[in-house]
Amino acid sequence: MSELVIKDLHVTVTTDDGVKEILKGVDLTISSGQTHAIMGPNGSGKSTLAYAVAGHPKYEIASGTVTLDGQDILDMSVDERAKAGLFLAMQYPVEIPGVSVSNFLRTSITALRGEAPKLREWIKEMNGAMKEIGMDPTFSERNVNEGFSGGEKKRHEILQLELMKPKIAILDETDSGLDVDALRIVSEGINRTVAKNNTGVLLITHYTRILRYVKPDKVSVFVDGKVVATGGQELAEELETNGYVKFSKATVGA
Amino acid sequence: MTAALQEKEILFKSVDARPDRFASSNPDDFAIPNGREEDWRYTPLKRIGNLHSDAVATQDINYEIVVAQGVISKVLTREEVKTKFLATDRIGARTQALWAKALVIEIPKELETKDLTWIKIDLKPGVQFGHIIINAKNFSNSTVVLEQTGTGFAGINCEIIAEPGSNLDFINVCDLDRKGVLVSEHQFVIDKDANVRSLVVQLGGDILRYNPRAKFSGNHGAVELLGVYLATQGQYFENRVFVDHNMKDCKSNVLYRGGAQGKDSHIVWVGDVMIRKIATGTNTYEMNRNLLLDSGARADSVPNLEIETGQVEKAGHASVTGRLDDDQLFYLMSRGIDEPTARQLVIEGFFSGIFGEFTHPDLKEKLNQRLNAAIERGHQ
Repeated sequence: MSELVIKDLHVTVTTDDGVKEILKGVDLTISSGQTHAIMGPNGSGKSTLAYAVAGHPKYEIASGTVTLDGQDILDMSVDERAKAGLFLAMQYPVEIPGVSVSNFLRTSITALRGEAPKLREWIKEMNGAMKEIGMDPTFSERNVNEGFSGGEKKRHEILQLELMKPKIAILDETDSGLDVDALRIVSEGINRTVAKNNTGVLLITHYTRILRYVKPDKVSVFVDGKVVATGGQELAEELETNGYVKFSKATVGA
Repeated sequence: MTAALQEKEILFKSVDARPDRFASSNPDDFAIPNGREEDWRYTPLKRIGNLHSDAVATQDINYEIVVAQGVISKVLTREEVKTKFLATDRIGARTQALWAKALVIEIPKELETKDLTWIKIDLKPGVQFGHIIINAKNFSNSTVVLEQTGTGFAGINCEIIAEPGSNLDFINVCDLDRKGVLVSEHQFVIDKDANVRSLVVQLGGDILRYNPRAKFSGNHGAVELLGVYLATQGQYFENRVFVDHNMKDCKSNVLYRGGAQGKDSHIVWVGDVMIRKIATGTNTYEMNRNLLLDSGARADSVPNLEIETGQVEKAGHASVTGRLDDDQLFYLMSRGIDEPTARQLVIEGFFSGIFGEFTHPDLKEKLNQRLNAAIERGHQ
């Protein structure tokens, strides 16, 4: 049983106009086997939350704590956080020219597991996972994310999720840019991971569409850098009907 | 042998290379550079052991050669080689005036071999000058590797002659010790339907200055001048490339990828392509991409393209210098890969497109080993 606990997290970025506070006191707990959806309008700070927790150097932690099973992860380097069991599926996965998917995955798995997987078993494992997510085996020879379509990039992220078996996964708008078929395949991958590996998922999304395939245990509404409401699936349905207007006003009023 | 060399004499005319560029084999025809000349503005002349002024040879160069079966190699004295090599700067001319023994490699007519011909030069402390002639005869097909290591101060020129219909891969590895200095002028002459692919790999040394020049002696020739260079802390690597399209329907591709890491590392690339009035149907592209790995590194990149005819098939040039991408490192590290390994992957990936073209397994492995060693030097 694992737990990612975010307490009163304040995060800033430095822009040309000076220091700007993006996260204004986030409190969240994500547990093994649970799917927690975070929904919010564009610019509310959802992606910042994902990147800050994963340790992107652009984001400065002003105050607050993030612990994974009691361990302070804010003190860890980005790779140490991954080794501790944290995974981030990115909204815009980065292209790495000249580095093949198979080389990248093998390097990553070797780092995460602490030893190089046996070649034959590894190829079997990788090809099996690629088949499940609907990726052709020739994909492993392509360069990481280079020339991938939007759907291919997202499948590649979920492929990594399945292979890396994290304790806690943050999925940043994994549903964006996907057609219905790809959305279904990616969602099945997420559900498999939760079922098989008991991964806790923080599912960041703008739309309710993905929640038809991935059923959240909890839904939180994120507006202006913090969580403003938390409930069950019914909260998502309300957002589907009424949008974020009510919550935005509430914040302005407060 | 003599016949081949006489043919070559015709190829190099008295005014050679870059338009309006003077060429000579006599060092006294060139003033001693002071660093303010366009040609020498980047080169740290203080660190080159007076190769540009008055350094004389303290020893001969020792050529170690392993030839592919059928390939002929000879080490000859000045009296035995009648080269008319004309240099375009003072170090090139001094090298031409001062070498004592030349290495001559001949790939016989119609010889096709997948085996490598490997020339190894291990430079020694002191000053040394060398000269190499590689002659790929009609319809031959082979690969020659020139591997230069060691220390000291050296000037080594090379003539590469590709006869009609020949295919030649030429890989020039410069991986000297930290204090080594090597200045080279290489001249490629490509005849009708000949195809030369050349790759320079600069990884080790205090100063490396490479000046490759290609021209054609027949129509429908093709040349690729490729380069991979990675300078670490304090190292200075310079490439001055010139392709002279002086024949019809010839093709050239210049692609150099450079990296610099660490304080006072400095890489320089100057690429000139000239398409003369006669050279209709030319297809040429030159590209330089540089990757700066930290804030102490510096890159200079100057592409030039001069076109005297409107009837070209394709002519383009480009230069891009960027910094190591934080987002690429973050992506890899977020998958558990530590920072040094992530940097290594990104740098290897940056260069791999060029190495990938040379598929001989021994060669590929050796190049990758040397590149990885150079990347690791940046972490120390």
